[in-house]
Amino acid sequence: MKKILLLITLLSVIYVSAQEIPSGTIMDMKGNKVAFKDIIKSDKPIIVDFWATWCAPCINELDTISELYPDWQDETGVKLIAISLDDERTARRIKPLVNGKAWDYEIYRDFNLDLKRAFNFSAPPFLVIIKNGKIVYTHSGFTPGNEDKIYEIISKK
Amino acid sequence: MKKIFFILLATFSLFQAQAQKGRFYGGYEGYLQLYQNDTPTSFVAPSDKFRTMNYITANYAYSHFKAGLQYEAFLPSPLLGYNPDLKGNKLATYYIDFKKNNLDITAGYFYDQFGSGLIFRAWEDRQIGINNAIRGIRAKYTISSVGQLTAFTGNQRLGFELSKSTLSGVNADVSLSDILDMHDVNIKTGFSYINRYQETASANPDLKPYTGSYSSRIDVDAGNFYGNFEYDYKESDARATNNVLLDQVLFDGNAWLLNLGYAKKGIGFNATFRRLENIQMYSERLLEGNLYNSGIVNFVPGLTKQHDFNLANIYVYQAQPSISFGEEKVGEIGGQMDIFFRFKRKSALGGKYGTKVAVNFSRWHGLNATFDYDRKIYRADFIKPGKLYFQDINFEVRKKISRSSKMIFSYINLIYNKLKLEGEGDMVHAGIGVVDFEHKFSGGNSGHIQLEHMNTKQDKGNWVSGLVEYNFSPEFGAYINNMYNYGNKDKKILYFNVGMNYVHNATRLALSYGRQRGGLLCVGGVCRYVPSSKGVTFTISTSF
Repeated sequence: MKKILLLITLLSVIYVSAQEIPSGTIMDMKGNKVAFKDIIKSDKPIIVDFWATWCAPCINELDTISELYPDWQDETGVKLIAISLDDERTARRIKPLVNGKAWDYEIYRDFNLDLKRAFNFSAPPFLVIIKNGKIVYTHSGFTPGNEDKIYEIISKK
Repeated sequence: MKKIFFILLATFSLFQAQAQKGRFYGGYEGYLQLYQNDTPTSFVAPSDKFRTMNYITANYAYSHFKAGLQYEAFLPSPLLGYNPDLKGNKLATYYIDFKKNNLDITAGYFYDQFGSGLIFRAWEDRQIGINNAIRGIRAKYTISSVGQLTAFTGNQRLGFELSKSTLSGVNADVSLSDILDMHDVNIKTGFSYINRYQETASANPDLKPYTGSYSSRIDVDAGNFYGNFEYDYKESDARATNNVLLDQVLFDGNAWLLNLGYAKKGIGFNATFRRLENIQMYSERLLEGNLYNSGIVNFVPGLTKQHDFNLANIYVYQAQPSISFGEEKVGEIGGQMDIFFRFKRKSALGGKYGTKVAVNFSRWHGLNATFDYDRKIYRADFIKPGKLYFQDINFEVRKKISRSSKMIFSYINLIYNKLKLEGEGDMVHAGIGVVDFEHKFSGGNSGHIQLEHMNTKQDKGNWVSGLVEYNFSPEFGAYINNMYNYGNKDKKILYFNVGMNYVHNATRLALSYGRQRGGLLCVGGVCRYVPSSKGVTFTISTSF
């Protein structure tokens, strides 16, 4: 009985377009709690990148994009919001790392992992591109060359 | 009750499908392992060689409501190293949440944390096999930017069951700078209280069913400087070891945490000091010291750098918050420091593309304590450190050497007190050198090589490690990863691993075959012991 119900629940997914953006509460670098939906309000493309200080591919992704970021911003007006999944073991490293690497992104922390559960990904890096209030692209992991695909999507008219 | 919940969720989502005001979302994560006998490591595969762990989540959000469930299936048994109580399949967690204006109420299973988590944290980490969610009711009240009040009560999830004890807590976070209308400085304070109610039959009249713990903290942010301080206290309680209650003498506990930092574009610095004394808390007293982190109420991570390299994960520090008369150990005291900086591009040290450097240092000692075995009490100094448990001095240099190539150089120097941290062994001194090279070819192809060497005269001797990875496209890649313990006097074992990954949007598949080294698997500072094994592993994760 339970299995049939589970199947119905899962099948109903096919009929629903999950384009609405998940909500959750995150923390800015001053320790203030903010609502995710408030920071993604924009008519320009937004990249949301979930990362962590202990995640090497995440650092690679954000380092790679940081070199292209000024050009991307000039061309498309894109904003990159980097949301860290660091918990109290490593959260103290976020501010010095971001500054030491001279990244220009907006930095937040998913302190209670609300957004991680809402977006339902298993591990960082996890990248989401939002255009006109809708999710147009998601990608799990990072390999060199991914940045070209990201550029392609944010510069599309 | 659960069946009704299921039906409601299914019909709600079907019904609202076209309305587009609601949102249905979820995910699936699965781990499959096929074990194989292995002669070099003397690993004998269990009788049920094929094991799987599956997690399915489904949620629905509509207007001010959100509801969801998580179904878990560990069939026929969980993977080796996980809590064997997690056998079978069951609706593991479910919740319904209402959020409007300043109020947020959750009924069902929820996750939360107070302060740094040293007195309370409920979270899920599937790799470590932790899910200590609380099932009960939680209410949060937010007063604009001034503060937030949280209160909850419930039982803790233990395996697929619930704790007999009840956990309750209140937390207040207040922004003093907002109340006093300060502009240049950000000052926040916080206070928490946790209470565990557990009936216990005991000859000791001082052992009460109610045990409380308190937390007080302050965070200051001024320009480029910032500082945080936290002090936690746990009331007297009985300890337990190997499922036996030690209620003759009760001990209280405390934790001190201080963090200072400076960050400005191009440079960042952070220093943390921590002292722990019997701060670990379990929802059921008899669970103290269990191998699977079952029943933990708070989060006590090891404050060291989590390295990304194979050989740097052989000697890993696990936090030592507890008391052990047998091992002559009480708590820990120490600190960690991080410096991040970059040499600008076109500068003398930066080179054409710039260079980024990260330096880290951590050192942990036990508390300096004397034990009275007759009266079963101890005395510990406040600041004076006891035996050295662990030290890690390391640096990492990241450099882009051409338009399509990057390199990382790292050196890690470790001191690991194997006797105090694992129960037997030497004081291990090890030096690890790492060279990492990555090249991006045209068409989305890329190659990656990582070479490591560990030099040590103790324990298992020297190791060498090599990883070669090639990505045929942004979606598909394959790798070979090897760790060879060539310096071992007894057995020179090669831990090999070959695998491939496929990623498409939010779906990820990975297949690998190899020999896994037994040892501590530490994720996010919390560790569990992973037995040595050999076999095929398949993992899949997707979200919808």
